Amino acid sequence: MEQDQRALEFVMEAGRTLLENGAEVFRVQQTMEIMAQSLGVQAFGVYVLTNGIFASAGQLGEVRYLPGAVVHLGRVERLNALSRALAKGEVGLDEAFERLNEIRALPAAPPAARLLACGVGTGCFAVLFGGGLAEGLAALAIGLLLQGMLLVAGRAGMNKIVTHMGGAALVALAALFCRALAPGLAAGVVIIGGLMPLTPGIALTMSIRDFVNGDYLSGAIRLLDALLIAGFLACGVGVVLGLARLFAGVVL
Amino acid sequence: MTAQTLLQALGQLLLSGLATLSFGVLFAVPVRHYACCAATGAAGWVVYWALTAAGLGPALASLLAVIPLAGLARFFAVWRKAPITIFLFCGIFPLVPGAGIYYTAYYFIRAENALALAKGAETFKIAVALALGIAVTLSLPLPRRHRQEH
Repeated sequence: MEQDQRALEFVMEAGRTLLENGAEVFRVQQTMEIMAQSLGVQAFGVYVLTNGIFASAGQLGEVRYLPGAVVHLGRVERLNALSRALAKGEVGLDEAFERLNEIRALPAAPPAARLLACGVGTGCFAVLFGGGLAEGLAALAIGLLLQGMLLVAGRAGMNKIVTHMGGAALVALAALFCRALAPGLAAGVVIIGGLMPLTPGIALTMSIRDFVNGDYLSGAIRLLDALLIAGFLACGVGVVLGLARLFAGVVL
Repeated sequence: MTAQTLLQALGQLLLSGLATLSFGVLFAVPVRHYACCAATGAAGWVVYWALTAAGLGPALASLLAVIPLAGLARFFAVWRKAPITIFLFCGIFPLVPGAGIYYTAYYFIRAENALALAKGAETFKIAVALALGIAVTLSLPLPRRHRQEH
């Protein structure tokens, strides 16, 4: 019984780690079932949602609530490898717990790398969306600025509304500033390039994937989340552009 | 095909690969998968770019672009013995309608309802096209000896 309790706890924590770091709902469900089988958990049942996990094993039951996810695909890969090792019987429960803790402690890319990556990413998207070299460079600078803000906001534990609305307002403001420096700059392209790290495109696509898989509730949660975030972004940009029109007469 | 379009395609290939790689870094992809992620994203985007340049609508172009993209992600998952999520997640980043959903919300709050509706419908169609393309490509059966991919 006690062994079952520990095994169930491991499966729950492993599932939570997968879900928190960007794995798809149905894959988390599948992996948890395989892990429970590998560990010999009796009468295992699990239901995974975008933001929660419910599982039981006979009379035992556990629930986890996950309010938000930060994508870390390195952790997803390592956990998959751990699940495979468990299935082959290469690791016991104690070692599995140890490896799970190691996986959780894996750091994200260092701040400098994230700054650079965000800048290059936004710059590239501004050009892919039809901008020229000037637009690309402006978006690159804005991407650096945005990631700087996101790093600070993350450290301060700011919530989704503040980071998305604030980030979008920052992008719009910086784009207006760039256009003031270089008249004729296509500010629209610069703004959408700069917003790419915040846009919920993947969430929207994953939501439809959940619907296609029959996970209607998970899909609905993700869809609402995507719509809400898009709304935050639009408000952030809208406020800045509205004020610019009112006070400075700038029309984009 | 003229030399100029070829050059343009090359530029799109490099830029979209670089963009995918950048977001791969933000998604904490392990360094040894960087090249495969960039290749997946670039392949999808170039097909999309070529098809839209040829006059195809964005939803159909997305559907046709995500099929080779997901196939490539699947191939990399088997070859590199890594979860397909890594390549798929990064690779679809250039194709997902992040800009579309933003414009939908933006036109909506600006009370430009006709534009918001048009953009919203297009965004929804692209997301459905991508999800269907992925679902179909991933459910095609593989030869038995390649079956340990997940």
